[in-house]
Amino acid sequence: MSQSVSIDCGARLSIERVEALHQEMEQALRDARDIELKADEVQYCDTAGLQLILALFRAVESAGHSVSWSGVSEVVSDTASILGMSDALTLAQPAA
Amino acid sequence: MSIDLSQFHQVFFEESFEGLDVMESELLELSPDSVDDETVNTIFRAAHSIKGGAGTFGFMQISEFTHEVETLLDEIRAGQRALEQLHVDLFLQSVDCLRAMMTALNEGSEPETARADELKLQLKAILHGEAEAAEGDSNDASEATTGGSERAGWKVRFIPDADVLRTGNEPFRMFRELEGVAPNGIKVMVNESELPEFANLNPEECRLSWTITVMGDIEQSDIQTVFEWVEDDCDIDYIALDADGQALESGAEAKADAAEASAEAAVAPEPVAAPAAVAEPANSEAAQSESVKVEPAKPAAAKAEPAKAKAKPNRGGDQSSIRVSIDKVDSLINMVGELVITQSMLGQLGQDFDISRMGRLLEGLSQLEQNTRELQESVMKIRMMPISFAFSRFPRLVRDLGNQLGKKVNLVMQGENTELDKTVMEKIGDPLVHLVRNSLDHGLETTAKRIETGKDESGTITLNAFHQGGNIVIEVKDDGAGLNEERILNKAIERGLVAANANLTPEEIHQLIFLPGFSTADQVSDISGRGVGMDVVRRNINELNGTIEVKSQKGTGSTFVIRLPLTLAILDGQLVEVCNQTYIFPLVSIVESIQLQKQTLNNISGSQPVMKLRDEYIPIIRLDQVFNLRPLEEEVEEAMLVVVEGDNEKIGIVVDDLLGQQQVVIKSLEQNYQRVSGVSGATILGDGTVALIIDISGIGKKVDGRAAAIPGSEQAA
Repeated sequence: MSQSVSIDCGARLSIERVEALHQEMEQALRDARDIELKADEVQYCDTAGLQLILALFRAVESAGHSVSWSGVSEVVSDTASILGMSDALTLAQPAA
Repeated sequence: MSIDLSQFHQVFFEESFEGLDVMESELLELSPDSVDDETVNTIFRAAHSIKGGAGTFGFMQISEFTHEVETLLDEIRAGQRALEQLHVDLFLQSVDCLRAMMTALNEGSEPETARADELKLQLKAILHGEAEAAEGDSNDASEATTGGSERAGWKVRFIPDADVLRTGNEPFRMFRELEGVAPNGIKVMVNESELPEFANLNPEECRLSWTITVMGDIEQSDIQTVFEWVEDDCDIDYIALDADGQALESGAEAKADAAEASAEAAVAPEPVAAPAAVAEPANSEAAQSESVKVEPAKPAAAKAEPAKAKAKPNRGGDQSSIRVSIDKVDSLINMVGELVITQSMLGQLGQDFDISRMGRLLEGLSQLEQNTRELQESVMKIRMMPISFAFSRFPRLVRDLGNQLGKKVNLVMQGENTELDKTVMEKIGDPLVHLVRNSLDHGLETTAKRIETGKDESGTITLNAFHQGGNIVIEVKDDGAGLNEERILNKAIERGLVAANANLTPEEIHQLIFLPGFSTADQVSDISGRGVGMDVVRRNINELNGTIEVKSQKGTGSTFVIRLPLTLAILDGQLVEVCNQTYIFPLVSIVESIQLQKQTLNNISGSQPVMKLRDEYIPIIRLDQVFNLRPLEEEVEEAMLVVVEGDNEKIGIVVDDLLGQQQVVIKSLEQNYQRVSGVSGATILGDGTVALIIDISGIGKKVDGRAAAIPGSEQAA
């Protein structure tokens, strides 16, 4: 089992891609301890995409490992915020 | 995307009023001795639709109240509770209450909720037992108290179905839209408790739910608009919040009503917490004081009387609409098609017309005339509705009044499918109610008296409608005691309405009941005799260009016969000429036309000419003088006289000539110019000139010395 694996969310973190991402993440959960999410190129994301990430966070944390972001596009931050998921996805902006 | 739901309010009200009518008529069929499941189902479905619609449009008073009704109905429907007469009475009172609330909302005013609160308590008492109802009372009071606080926002619990994402309904888009309409923004909290283990997650299914706090005073309907596309695919609650973020009142009972409304399938509603279960109870003092305030608003045994429409500006009522069967619309389209063909044929003919084609032109014009007539008939048919709409209120009315008066009454309705114009229907409702009340109160004898006179103990009131010529005839018949001619005559003499030595036929005596202020009721009862007499009934009918007469036989009963034109838009008129001007008299008002004879003329009070027509004196009116068309001094002794009858009194109108009779389309003078006394409207004649239509009753009022027209009066001699 490797220490960490990076998952690239691509340009779309949305319902048409969640099935493929789900499989990739399941594999990563089996292969690694920590997971790094690369989401700086995401142009569009939706509820299904962020729900998948949220489920991943819970799975990783319940296994005692961690998930981190290597980059987050504005779209992802905004969508998480409007869906009330910023805290759960550790995307909340620190208070100014 | 935002849709203005208020544009659908009128349809909602119309459908709800229809639903209430259905509930009422079915409730009247419902007997605790033999409960018909389908009848209960029909009542339940009507209540369910009203509740759902009210929830959708944000009329929470309606949806919350209907919820209680529906819950009790559901228990009866499911066989969990046996139907009792008490339930039927309570449901009928609830229908009245809902109708009153709906009427107020339709008029743009806030509905009275005291009666609804009182009925809700009674429903709860049945549903949960007295103890809980009492608790509910205090909760309701506290709710009412907090309800007085200012609304500062809403809490929306949004639980979408699993498939919502697959259908493209994106929660983040809805929340963003909500953010746009919320005055002070929104706060979104996600609930992930239903999110399965990662391995078990179907990532295309939505397993999240949200609680959204909408900040600022915003109408619930504005929030509902945001969720309207998914309301069938989610559970959604709306809870109003006060400034401290506490629940003001619960919208929980409207929970997913929108979704439920469309699901006609009989799904037992979830037992829902009392409204105040969500509301934070206010301090107990406030709660008590409110309960005192609410409680005595109406006694528990208050009569179930539909509230009358208040004289407030009518916002929704103006947007009257009509449901038209598709057959009628198809027929209309067909007619227009024919018209277009004829027009095209005539157009072609006009392009290269020569005298040899005159026959073809005349044929085309004849075709055009036929098309126009058929089109007119089809358009008129659109406004036609079966009179059952007006009759439908009577089973309830007769039942309630019969109970109130302790009389057993059978109501027989015939010719319910007879059609008449919607406007006429709306205006004939009140006079009919008065006649039926009158028949019940004064016409039918008490049960004891009926048995004494060898009649069936149950009286019968028959409502009958049929077409006759171009009119609709409506009969209100009772098998009661008949008019008491002696008492009517004595009363009329006592009140100076006829001379003491008047020698009147029974028919003339019967007509006296239509004189203003005439009432022979020994006691002014609650049913009729409240100052609205038969004179008002007759006036209302006259205003519709109709007539009313009464036939009565002592001991056998009375029949009131109303004749009305089928429509108010077209009038059968007699064209007359006065000083080269054309006027129109409604044909229905004309009694006869005669040549004026000098020896039959008299003057009363030195100025009002009257004429002896057989055994009565009738005042003479000169239209030329009424409308200032000719100098006063000119005599018209040998002129033509049209004897007309309005307000049951005859008058003679002097005209220069009688022209033809024809149907005329009535144009409102009021809408196009202003109201003119003595003129009911105008029309455009075939040659393009405008002719005034004479208002017979109005012109009659211009006559001084009306007593001259009263049978038996000797003032004119």
